[in-house]
Amino acid sequence: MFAEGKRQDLPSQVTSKPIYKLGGDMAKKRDTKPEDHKSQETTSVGRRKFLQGGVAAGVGAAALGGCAATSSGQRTSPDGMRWDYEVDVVVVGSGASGLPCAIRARDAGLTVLVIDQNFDIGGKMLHSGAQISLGGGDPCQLRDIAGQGDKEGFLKVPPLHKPPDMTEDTDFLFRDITDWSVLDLGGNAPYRYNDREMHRAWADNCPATRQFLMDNYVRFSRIQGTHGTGGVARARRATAFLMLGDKTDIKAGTVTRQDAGIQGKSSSHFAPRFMDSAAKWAGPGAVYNGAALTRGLEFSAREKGIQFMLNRKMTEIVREQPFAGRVLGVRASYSPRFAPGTKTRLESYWQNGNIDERRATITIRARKSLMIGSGGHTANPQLRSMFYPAFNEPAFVSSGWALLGPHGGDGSGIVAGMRIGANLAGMQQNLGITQSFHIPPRLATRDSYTDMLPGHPTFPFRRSTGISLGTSSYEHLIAVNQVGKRFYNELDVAQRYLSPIWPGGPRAGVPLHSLQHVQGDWRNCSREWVRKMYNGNASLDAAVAMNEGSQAPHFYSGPLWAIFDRGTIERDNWDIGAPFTADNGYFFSADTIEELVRKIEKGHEFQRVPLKYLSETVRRWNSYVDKGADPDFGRGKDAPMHKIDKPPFYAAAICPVWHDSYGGLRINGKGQVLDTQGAVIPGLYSGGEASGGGNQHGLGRALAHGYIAGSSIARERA
Amino acid sequence: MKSALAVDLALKDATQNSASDQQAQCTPELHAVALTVWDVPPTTASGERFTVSVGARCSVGCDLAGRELTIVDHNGLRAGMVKLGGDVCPGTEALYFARIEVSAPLEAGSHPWEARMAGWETAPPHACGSFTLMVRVVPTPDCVVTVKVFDREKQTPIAGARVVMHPYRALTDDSGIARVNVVKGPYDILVSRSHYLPTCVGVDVTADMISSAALDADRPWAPPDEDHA
Repeated sequence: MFAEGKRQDLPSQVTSKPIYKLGGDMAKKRDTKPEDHKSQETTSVGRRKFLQGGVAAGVGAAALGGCAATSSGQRTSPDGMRWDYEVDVVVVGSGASGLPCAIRARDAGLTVLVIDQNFDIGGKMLHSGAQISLGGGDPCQLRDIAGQGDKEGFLKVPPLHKPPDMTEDTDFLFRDITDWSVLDLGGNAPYRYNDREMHRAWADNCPATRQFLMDNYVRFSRIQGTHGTGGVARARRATAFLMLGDKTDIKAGTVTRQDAGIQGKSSSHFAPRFMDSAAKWAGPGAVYNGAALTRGLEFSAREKGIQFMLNRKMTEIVREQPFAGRVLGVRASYSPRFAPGTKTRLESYWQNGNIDERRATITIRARKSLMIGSGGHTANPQLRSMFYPAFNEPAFVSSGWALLGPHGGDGSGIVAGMRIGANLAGMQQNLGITQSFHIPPRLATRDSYTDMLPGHPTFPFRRSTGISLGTSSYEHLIAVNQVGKRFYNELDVAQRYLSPIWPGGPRAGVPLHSLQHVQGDWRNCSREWVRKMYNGNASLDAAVAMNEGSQAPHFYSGPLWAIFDRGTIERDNWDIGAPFTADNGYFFSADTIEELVRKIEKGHEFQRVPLKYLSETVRRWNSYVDKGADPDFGRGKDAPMHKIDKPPFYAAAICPVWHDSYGGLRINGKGQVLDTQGAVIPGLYSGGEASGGGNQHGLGRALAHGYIAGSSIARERA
Repeated sequence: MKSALAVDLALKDATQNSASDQQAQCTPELHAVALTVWDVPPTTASGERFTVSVGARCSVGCDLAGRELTIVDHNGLRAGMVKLGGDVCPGTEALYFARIEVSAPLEAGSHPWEARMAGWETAPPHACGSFTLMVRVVPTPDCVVTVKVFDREKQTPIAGARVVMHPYRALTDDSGIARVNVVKGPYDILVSRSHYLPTCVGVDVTADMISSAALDADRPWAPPDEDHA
């Protein structure tokens, strides 16, 4: 396997002593300010070290006239609750909204504890593509408009767009992302239903968010277009990158080849996905993905003294009254993950600043604010089926399933908010947006979205990277449902149309290109235009539809299978060896179709009913190939058809995936959570996929939400 | 289709099973045999000799080396016979296989043929197996359609592209050219190649002709995060 290189140490001025640990072996402590840390020693790691450090810090704190503390096992606060920990700000979730919020609050001098259900930092941000669409005249746009480079001299490519294509202000951006008239190729309106107050704030904060990220070790490529639902009329996307170097050094902006991963072979603990080349957008030697973004922010957070309690799942928001009063803190349970088949607990990549708390359940008081950045509901079949009943099927998982673990994307923040009276928003916005749920063309792995390779600690949970195909490769297979019947034209099964993004034009569902696009123009959605551009595709809906194996009361649609043969492998050069496939129940080979059926029925965890039609389906398909026409689904007019007759025969799982969450806690322009009367729930903030009302794909939404919430918390009077 | 032997054995097996558990444990179980046939050419000329691959697999993986397999034509006449080899088909666990040469029928059309393997009683007993294959005999082609396949963006020839004018098939050579011998008539020319989007163009072939197909690259799939317009 792949030995891990020596990890970068955090600098010596880092501290992690700003939090009350309210226990019998604790002396008085108080919070410290960032400036205090620079004279302190490096960090605790485990609980014991933390406690030792706490004593020393407490002495200093007392001299500074710090806050009250207790030497009892728990502290009973004036609110009557007994708390195990106490801090100014508790952030739930260390992902794209939680981490910026934490840093922003810490920058304001507040003590911050981030808890996360997983063993490492980053949530879905870590496995993302680090494509960040902001805009409104953000620093990257301004840099490119001026033809300037970056301060470190990493950017070696000139700006990719002409200045007018990047020139805008926040008013223009706000109009763009709330444009009622823009449709996608499926006739859906991605911007129409965006919450006005929330997106006004989002647009207003985009420039500052970009600068904030750059100030916290995030390096950005040139602006290159815009990505899904990031607006259509200007180029706004920049990608986080690092430079390949001799060592992984966030301050220097470098990452080793080993940590960046080796294409087709390995990823690393640092980067769960291979960091691909960003040469086109940044320069030779630049590599990108969510690791470049996450590790930069994480490094900064730890450097600034933010503490992390990982393996800790928030189970309850504590409020003064069940549906009234201020939010006081959280109750959280221990949620460790262990390497499959072992008792070895998974640990975070960096551990400086971690609090190793292993009690089953603890309480944490948030003296000032609680921020819910715990992510969406992508992995919760009960919540998902509120939007789309067919997605009650537990076989289908969230993107990043192995990385995030059993509690990732479980909607726990949304549910906890609902239990104290929070309202929801954007509950219709998952539907019709191709980023939320779709069928990626990657076979033979449960997480078909994420191309994780061996080397990351969570790879053993999935065991296969999957066979990544272009959609044209579907010419060589048939796709069947849980009873072995075909359900759609295979060439369309994994087709996903482009969102309305810059530069627009018919390929993106927009009549005019770039600067010619007119915001709010009825012609963007006229009947004539829709008839001309419509290119919708319902393969996902056919895939998850009820079939003969769907049984009451759940009517699960069941697993989907790509069936092919050795002829496929030879014609289309598929690599079906390790790590792309594994003996993990998501890939089978057999001498005959009948044997293939037996293997699937025995070996796949969600194959609940017999695949009773598969043999007949293959016979029928082969007869269609003989005839040159497919009366069932119209194949034969779009691509050559090929018999499935050359042994061995293969079955690889086709797994729809739920990637984005667009329905969640209702927040206002300050990131404050609102109740069902429209009133602010005092002390409670949220953002990213835990919140709703914004039909906006990707990191730009969540990062700005975190920045907004952190800024609001900093301004809030205690 | 079950042979008399297979039915007899099956009935015998069922009777013994119902007699008593102890008896049933002593009864040899009837093994099923699955046959498969591949490499059947999509078209053959009248009376043309051609070769197909045949394979057989026992349901529990018994060694089938040396077992006879017969090809029976649409008139019920034996078209060929072969003994399975001693090696299993590459990539399989227990599919014993052989190549067999046969002659196409004289009359044009699609003809259902059958591969058969007789069952046997010696322990463990095996049921017979069969598999239906289709043999298509086409009239003698009278036209040549030359198809030039190239990369639309690079304007370079694409070798190894599949060109299908059902039922005729060909591959492009290093110059990106495929020559398809067809009978006059209307066709869809389907062209595909790995990492390119397939194309289709309708033609009416009345004489030798030249056609071309410009293929667009199939963009590697990227997560929605990484979509580019």
